[in-house]
Amino acid sequence: MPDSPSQKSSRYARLVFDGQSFLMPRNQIPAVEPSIDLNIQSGPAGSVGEIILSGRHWPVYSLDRNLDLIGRIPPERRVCVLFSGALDGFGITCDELTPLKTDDVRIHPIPGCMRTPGLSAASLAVYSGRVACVLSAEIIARRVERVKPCELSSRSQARPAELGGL
Amino acid sequence: MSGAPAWIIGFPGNHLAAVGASELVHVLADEPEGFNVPGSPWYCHRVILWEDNVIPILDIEKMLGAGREAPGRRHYGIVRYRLWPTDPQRFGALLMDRIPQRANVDDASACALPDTLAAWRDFVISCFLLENRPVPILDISSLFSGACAAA
Repeated sequence: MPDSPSQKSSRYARLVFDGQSFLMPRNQIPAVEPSIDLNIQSGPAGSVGEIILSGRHWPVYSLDRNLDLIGRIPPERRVCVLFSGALDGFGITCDELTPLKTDDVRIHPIPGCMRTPGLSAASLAVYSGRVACVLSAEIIARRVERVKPCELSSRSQARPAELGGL
Repeated sequence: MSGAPAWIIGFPGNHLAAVGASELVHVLADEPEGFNVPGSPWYCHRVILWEDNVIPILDIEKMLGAGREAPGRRHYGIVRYRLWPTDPQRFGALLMDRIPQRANVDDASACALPDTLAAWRDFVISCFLLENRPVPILDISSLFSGACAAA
């Protein structure tokens, strides 16, 4: 029995990166672009570049499974998933993004002993016999905003070699 | 002999503890598939899915500061608790290094928690002697509700 009443939903998409799956509300994902379209010569501190879509600039970041910025694009990150609702729009690199089937998701709260100030997930979702953290654009934005401006110069120098696998 | 039935649990690092007989509901002898929860404590960073419940796996040895994981096979003891008598029951999994043993605990065997187990104080109800060895009785609710957290 879940800790609180469960809800069924079809409003989630599954993001995969660094060997881990996450769920996000689909209505926070306005677009998905191939990583090859990343402009790696621009973008704010901590980003790996930006996507320019309809004249708008979307900074794109790379995270590891613990949602820490890694400042590079691993070769398996083939898509940039763009988010709305935080930081005036931004994105992250992912291996893949797939919509979940209708009525296939049950939401559970994070167990009390796992809650810390640094906890990233809003809740846990059970789907198809698996468990994934539920994220939101706001949660990821909070991780991204921890980057300090001084990291910009080192990131820029590292970019060309890091993109070799794409 | 009168007394209350309990399960004696062994943890990696050769520590023993006890839980009430009705608190331990299942033992998984094989490692279940775990799912990582980013940002959670390092001693409790994975959950498993058991009978439609999302259950955190808690490693008491790591919670108490063990830096390195002791070698050997692991078992997973599913325990249940309630925060309040009228609340629905909740579940947690304790990492163990052996199959639990039944024991009978009576008042005559009660003892003070020794200084060597002072770090357990926040999640222990009481302590008793089993073959001259102090065995703390775990407060499952405190452990899994987050009421006690590692430093």
